[in-house]
Amino acid sequence: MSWASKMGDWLDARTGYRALLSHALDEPVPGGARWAYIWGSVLVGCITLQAVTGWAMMAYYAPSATTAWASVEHLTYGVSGGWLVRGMHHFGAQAMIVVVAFHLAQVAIFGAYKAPREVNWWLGLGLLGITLGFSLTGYLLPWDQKGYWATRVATNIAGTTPVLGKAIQQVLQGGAEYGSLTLTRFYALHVGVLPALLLALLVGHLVLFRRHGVTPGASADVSKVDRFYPTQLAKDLGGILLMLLVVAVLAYREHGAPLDCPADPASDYPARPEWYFLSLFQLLKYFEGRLEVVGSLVIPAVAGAYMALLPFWDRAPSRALRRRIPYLLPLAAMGVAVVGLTALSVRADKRDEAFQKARGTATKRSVACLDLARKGIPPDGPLAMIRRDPETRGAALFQENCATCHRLNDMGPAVDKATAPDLTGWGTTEWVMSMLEDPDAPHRFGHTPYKGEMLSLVKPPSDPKAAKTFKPMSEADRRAITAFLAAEAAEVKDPQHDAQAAKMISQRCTSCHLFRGQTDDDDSSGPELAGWGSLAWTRAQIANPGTNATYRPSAMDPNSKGHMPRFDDKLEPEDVNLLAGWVRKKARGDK
Amino acid sequence: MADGDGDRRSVLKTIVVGGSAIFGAGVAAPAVQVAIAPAMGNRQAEGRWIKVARLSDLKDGEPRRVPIIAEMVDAWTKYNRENLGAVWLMKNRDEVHALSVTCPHLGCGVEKTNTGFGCPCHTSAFDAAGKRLSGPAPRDMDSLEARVIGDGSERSVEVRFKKFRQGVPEREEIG
Repeated sequence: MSWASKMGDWLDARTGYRALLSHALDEPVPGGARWAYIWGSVLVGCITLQAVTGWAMMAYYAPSATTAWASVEHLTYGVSGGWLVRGMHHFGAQAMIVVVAFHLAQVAIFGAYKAPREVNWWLGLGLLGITLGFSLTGYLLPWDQKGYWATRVATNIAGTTPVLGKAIQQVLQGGAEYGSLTLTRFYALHVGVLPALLLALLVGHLVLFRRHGVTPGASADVSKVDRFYPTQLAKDLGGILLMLLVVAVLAYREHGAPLDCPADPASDYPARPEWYFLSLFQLLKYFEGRLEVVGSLVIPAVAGAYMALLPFWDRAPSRALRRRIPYLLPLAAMGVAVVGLTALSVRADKRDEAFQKARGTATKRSVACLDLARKGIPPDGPLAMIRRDPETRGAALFQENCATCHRLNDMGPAVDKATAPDLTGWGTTEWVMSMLEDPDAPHRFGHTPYKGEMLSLVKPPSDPKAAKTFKPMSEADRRAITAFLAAEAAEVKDPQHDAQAAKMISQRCTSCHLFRGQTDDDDSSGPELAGWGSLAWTRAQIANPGTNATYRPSAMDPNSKGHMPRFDDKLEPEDVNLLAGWVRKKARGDK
Repeated sequence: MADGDGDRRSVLKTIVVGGSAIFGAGVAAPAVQVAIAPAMGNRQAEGRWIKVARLSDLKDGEPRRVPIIAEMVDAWTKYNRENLGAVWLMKNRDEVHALSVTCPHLGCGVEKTNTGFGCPCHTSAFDAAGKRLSGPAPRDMDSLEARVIGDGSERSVEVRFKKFRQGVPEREEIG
């Protein structure tokens, strides 16, 4: 007797494992092994995949509003093999939904829900619900824009449940709003409660399955009997390996799973659920106002009730498919509806230009967020990181504070709606030249209260008396002045050139403008031209335009309507500084 | 059972065993890779010079414990200033010596005693220069490079901060 079989005997005498194993493996398969029976085993394969990749991710994941996104980013981009584990979990979850659908369809078509297998049918439906629960809770955990906004919709739907809605929603969310407690709750559900429920129901499902055995097809030759091992199990493994291959290829092709920008309650985001919930999402579009609950709860509840009650409705002993068509028609209709609604939803999004544009912006933003994260995420989390980033923060500050009046590139109001000069190109020679030649152009003072305040240096004024004495400035002089001002804005110094142009400015411009603190007319309203457009000048202008650093205090007179307001009572100094730098950079084309 | 059937069964058994092995490996491999990632590619972190005290804060012959505060990256978080550890500084005129406060035995914090230094956990004792006198510590206290920079009242002490593996007789730097 070999050493190995002696060991086996010793263990068997104490545990009886051989009997257990042969009970598990020698299960008869009446009618013979079939590919149609593989789905239950493939699901066990999916669950194994999800459990193992899930455990690996738990070693890195930190559920809180400041750490969740950062830890997922770290796992995906900072840990060897992290992207693959996350990708396999992500696509494994989707594979599981597909396989559940096949399993359900097979059981329904073979009539395996009929007596005496009703309870096992219900356990299966329970497992389907748990699978969807896993999808829903898992989707939120990365705490990125996609998961955050999609899941908010789902919990808000739960909140519309009659009577108990508010309580259900608050218990799920851990409060009235989304935050760290939502994450810890969803995490507890995803890695603790749902796996335990899944295991309990799965054990019951398998025990009852063994009790009643395989349901052979109605026309199967039941005199032929295969054993589960190895005949059926070989087919099952074929399915399991195919599933694993598809998941691995998808994970490899996508290099893991997508990660959007960190969840930002203040942002706009084109939220969509994961593809397998798109049909429910589309359904909601057809029910408005008080009828909404029909789409969000009533129809799904009716569908669930139909499935649960199917064994009581279809009670004829025959499992022949033809006779059961009326009973299965609703299920087929549900399948068609899911496919159709999903297609409609995809088509609607494809045709929706605004959505496509928002989608494109979100994709660009997510690339920027991930780039930023690579420089290190501060202790106060990824949103603080984005807020401090000059690029994103600058754009947000401009949008909030400046874009009501000023245009800058593609931001701000249309040219004819702007009530302040267009800042596109501000600080360049072209910008200054257009101001000298045609200050009342639509993109300069044309639509502002200051129309007519600055006189063109080439066009005669409208007042005939003044027009008589008007002498246009020579092009060479105009060029010298624009070059000087553009150099001031770019903060480049050229002393020789400066002296000449400065002299010209102090002779020709100071009847209206300040220049190095000097002016010929204390009541004039033109801004300081020394250092015009420099960082210091821009900062001073944003903080408070009436300090003589840019404009005179009279500019802030409440009667002088339409002047730029001060922002130092609204913005922190570091934001003023950041905004000034951002505007200069963007205006001059990122140079 | 016909021979053909027996052959078929054994082929199927091989398929099942092989297929199970492929599935097991396919699922486990990436998870194991991620799980053991911290032990792989153990890069040796270069010790950083960190300013820890003003020279005028130290007195000759009186060891002083100072915290090491510097930039730190912990997994995904980047701290601009965070406590990394502490050192004992000993001044002798213009020279400063630094000893790690971490006991080379099992990592407790070494304290000042009447005879030099001692570990409160397993009672290892060291002399005033950090040399092992008694107890389970496998080596002397770990000394760190220290230097004095600047002039006059602005003179300050910098330490090249490193961490070492505990419980082994040889000093071994850890990342």
